[in-house]
Amino acid sequence: MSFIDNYEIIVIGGGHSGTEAAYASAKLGMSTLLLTISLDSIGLMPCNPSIGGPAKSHLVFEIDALGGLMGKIADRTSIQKRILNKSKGPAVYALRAQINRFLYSREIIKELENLDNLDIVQGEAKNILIDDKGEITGVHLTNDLNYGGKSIILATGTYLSSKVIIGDMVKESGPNELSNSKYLANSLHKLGIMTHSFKTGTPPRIHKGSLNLKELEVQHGDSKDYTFNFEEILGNLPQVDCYLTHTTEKTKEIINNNIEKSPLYSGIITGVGPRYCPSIEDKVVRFPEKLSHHLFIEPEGHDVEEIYLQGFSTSLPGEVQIKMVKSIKGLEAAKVMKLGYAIEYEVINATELKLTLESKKVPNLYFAGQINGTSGYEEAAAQGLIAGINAVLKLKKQKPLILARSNSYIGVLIDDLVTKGTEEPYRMFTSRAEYRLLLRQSNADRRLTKIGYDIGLISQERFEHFQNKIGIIDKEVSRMKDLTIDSSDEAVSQLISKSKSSPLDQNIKAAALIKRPEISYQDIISIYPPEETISSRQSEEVELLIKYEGYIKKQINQVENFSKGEKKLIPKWLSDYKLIKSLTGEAIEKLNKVKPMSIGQASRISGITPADIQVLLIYLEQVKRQEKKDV
Amino acid sequence: MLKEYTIANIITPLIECGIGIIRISGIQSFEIIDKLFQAYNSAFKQKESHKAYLGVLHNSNGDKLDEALVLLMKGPHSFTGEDTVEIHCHGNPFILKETLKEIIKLGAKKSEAGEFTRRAFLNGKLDLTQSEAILDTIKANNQKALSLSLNQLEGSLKNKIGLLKEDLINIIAYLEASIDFPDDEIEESYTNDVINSRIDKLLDEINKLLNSYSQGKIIKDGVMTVLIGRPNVGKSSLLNSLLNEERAIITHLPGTTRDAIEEQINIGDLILNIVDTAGFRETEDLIEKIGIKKTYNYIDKAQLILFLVDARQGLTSDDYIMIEHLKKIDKKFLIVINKVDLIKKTKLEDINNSIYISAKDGTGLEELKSTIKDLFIKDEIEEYYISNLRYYESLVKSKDSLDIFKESLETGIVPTDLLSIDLKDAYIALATITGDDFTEDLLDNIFSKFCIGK
Repeated sequence: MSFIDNYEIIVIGGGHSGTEAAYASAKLGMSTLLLTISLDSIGLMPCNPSIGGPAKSHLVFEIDALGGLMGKIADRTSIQKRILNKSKGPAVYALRAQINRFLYSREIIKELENLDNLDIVQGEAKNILIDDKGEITGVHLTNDLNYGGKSIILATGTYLSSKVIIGDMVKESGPNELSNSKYLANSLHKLGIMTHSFKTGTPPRIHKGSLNLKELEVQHGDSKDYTFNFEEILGNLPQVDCYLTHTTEKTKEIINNNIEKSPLYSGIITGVGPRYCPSIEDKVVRFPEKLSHHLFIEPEGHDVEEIYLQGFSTSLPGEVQIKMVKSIKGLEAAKVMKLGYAIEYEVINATELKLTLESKKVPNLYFAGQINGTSGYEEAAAQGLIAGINAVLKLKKQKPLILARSNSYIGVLIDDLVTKGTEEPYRMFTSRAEYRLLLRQSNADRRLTKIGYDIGLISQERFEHFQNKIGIIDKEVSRMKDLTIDSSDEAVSQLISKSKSSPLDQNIKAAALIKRPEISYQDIISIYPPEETISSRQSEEVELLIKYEGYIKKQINQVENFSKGEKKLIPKWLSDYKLIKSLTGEAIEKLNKVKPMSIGQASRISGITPADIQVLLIYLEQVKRQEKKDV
Repeated sequence: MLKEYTIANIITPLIECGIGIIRISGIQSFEIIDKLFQAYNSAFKQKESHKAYLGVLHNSNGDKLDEALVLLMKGPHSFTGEDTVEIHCHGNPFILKETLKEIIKLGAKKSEAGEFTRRAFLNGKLDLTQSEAILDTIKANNQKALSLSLNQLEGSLKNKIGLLKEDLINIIAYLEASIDFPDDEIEESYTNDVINSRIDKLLDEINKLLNSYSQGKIIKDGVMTVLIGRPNVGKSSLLNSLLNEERAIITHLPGTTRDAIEEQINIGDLILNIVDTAGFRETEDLIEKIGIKKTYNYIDKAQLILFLVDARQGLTSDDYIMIEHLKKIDKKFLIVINKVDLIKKTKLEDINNSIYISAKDGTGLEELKSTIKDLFIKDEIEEYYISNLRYYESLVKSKDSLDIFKESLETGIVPTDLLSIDLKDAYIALATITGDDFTEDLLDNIFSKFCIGK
């Protein structure tokens, strides 16, 4: 077999996962091929034109802290930014950016086209090539070309054997009329990796000129200068508004009258859809008492008339969709440019993977993004980055990168997928993270940038800048702890009375004052300024570290407890849990499937009970004692 | 890999009593008993399972140790799931210890605490909650404790905890949904007042369960009771008449009982663990002084103090000091006025908490027993008892977290994401009892309740 070219790493798929994987791989010096079905759709955002939001923004901050792409490209192409959850606490502040999706894709392509070590080729992968030793040799394309590669990262998104469904129309297709990946699923099956269907959907797109803006509630941005990227490089696109509206009783009536035409209810769709992202017909059926549902109107670009109708995902027939759209407040004369649709696609069970995202069955075959059962650009990008890094580290024979639940949302994401698998498209929520207060978007760099630097994705210059920034924050926190404020201090007394705080009856540390809800760190430095100037993001972090010190300590203690389980490694010889007679058949099956690395991971496998863990612990302890006696 | 070795130990208390039992478990069990024991019936050689054989135990020198009954149980049909031998000898600590020594000489290891149960557990004979409940059943000294253990086996407690968890997760789901879905319409049905009153209800329920622990524990383990009084007021006589046997040395010399003696007696459903103490009075005798110091230590640990007084002497100044002490440390106590058979009329003015008895002729003993019972056993048997320390500790953790949550909520300034830390802790503490997954429970709750979705 002859190869057109030979690469170290081949990435199949040019979406948010594949591009991060290819970027990391090439950046780290590996000769890399990015194979995509369409060159023009690299970095495509086929669903909502936004990046971030609770937990998702946390992922983007983490990607940036590790040296990935998504954060800085989103900043460059954002057309509105808001901080969500401002009143709900420091752990869950979340940046959300509306994106010019055309420019986003363009900017990603530019980044990749100019990258050393990376080739980009348009083509559809047909077979993963494996030699008689079971080692990956490359990929065979539908156009009969072969490319050689030592590792393959599969990031097929929603394209694997996908079908688009509108009403009773079912069409073999990827999203947005792009062609799908028809053969690769079969190649996986031959390797013993099984797939099943998931489903998701998207709403109709409408011409902005046809909206009655007077009837809609405007939603402005509020945080133009807040960036995902830690270098705080701002974008320069004009900022635009979003709008809020809602469905009416007429919408509900139309849906109810046509519900039997929905492919969801007629039985055409069999894949499992996400509960948090239901179609509008699903919402009407499941919550019949609700007369109306909120909708968000989001621009797809600052210079684009096409708008996105968030909250109105549907797969009802086109005619019904158009009637439904016109029943929405302010959309009576709306012109539908693209219909909404449901899409079914094939995914693997992520419990087939190691925590590095490498297949347990086929060495050097990695899986990332929606093929692992997730949904969302951010979740996909995070996995792509980690799969890319790990593919490189393995070829370089270095220690893999496995992030912990206690240091990142990425760690939570991958641990959840690999340990528990997912029954529905998996989306990140802040409530999935046990140690949320420690996993703030604001400290993602403190958590991960050293790791990114050690791997080689963070430049020396950026790393020094980061160290400097952390240094200033830490110095200010300890300055506030040491600084004693005299009870007779006039400036402070004025501040206190102005803030309606209780007067000082004795000397007090500045940190103790900042812990009062009505006093801020900014107040204190207006009287006692720091030696070095401090940026607003740094000063927010100082304030937070002081004000929430007690809660932070509490979570650190919880992490220490958690880490005990993570550090209790399960010895490699224990590969068949049938050895442990007292485990239930169910527990044996699950443990054999996941093959957890540690007791901690074992305890998170769904269906594994505390009693099973006790059995496992006692068993391992008996073995250990016996080994001691035998020595 | 786990290697099998054979363990043995004496499994009945090391006191003189009718029968003492030694258990051997593991692959060598039958081999060991063959060398140690000669059955009268030659069928013993066939080692038929679940049969009892009478015969003679002897040591390696051939000296007879005891006549004993030996039970053979082939694995997996035994408590541990392994080949098991039980030797029923006479309940003489010396014989039992000597026999065990021989067994160990023959290759068994002395079992560690709980090792038989651990093996049963590892061999799939018991699951964890079952093994906890079975340990309780083994220890159950009376009818009520037994039904309590059975209750736990049936999982009624878990159902109760399940209900508490559901209440709690409803509140968490509301807070979390508002964080994870800021664009969605989360009905504002939970004001801080509503949350507060729901948490109060939950705390009530948890407190009830926690209180049931002391009740459950009393039923299971009994009441630590201390018998005190001046020398020679008849403490030992009372103890003996409650026990119906002579155990403590009784003389008429004051201060005879120098060491505390511990006895267990049943009053109906209630177990009293009674300690008879040296009498207290000002003394120069060193040994007696030590005894008196011990008395105070026992009082500290006691749940019930029976304060014995001689009806003929009435209350002395020493007694009043002691009564004041008891009141101060807030313990349950009864003043038991003994020797009423020796006086014509009561010389004493009415004293609170007092009962007139005669340990000698039995007068008032029934009244004493029923008064003690009333002090500790509630008439109404609560549906759920916590008698397991692990559950108790989990509930305490949950309660502590809820208390902190309430404090934080009341300040009105702690943001939602921090408030939920304590609520989640409270939930997870409950979930360790039932073994459920927090995140899955939470998301199920959110999606079933709120119409969420982009």
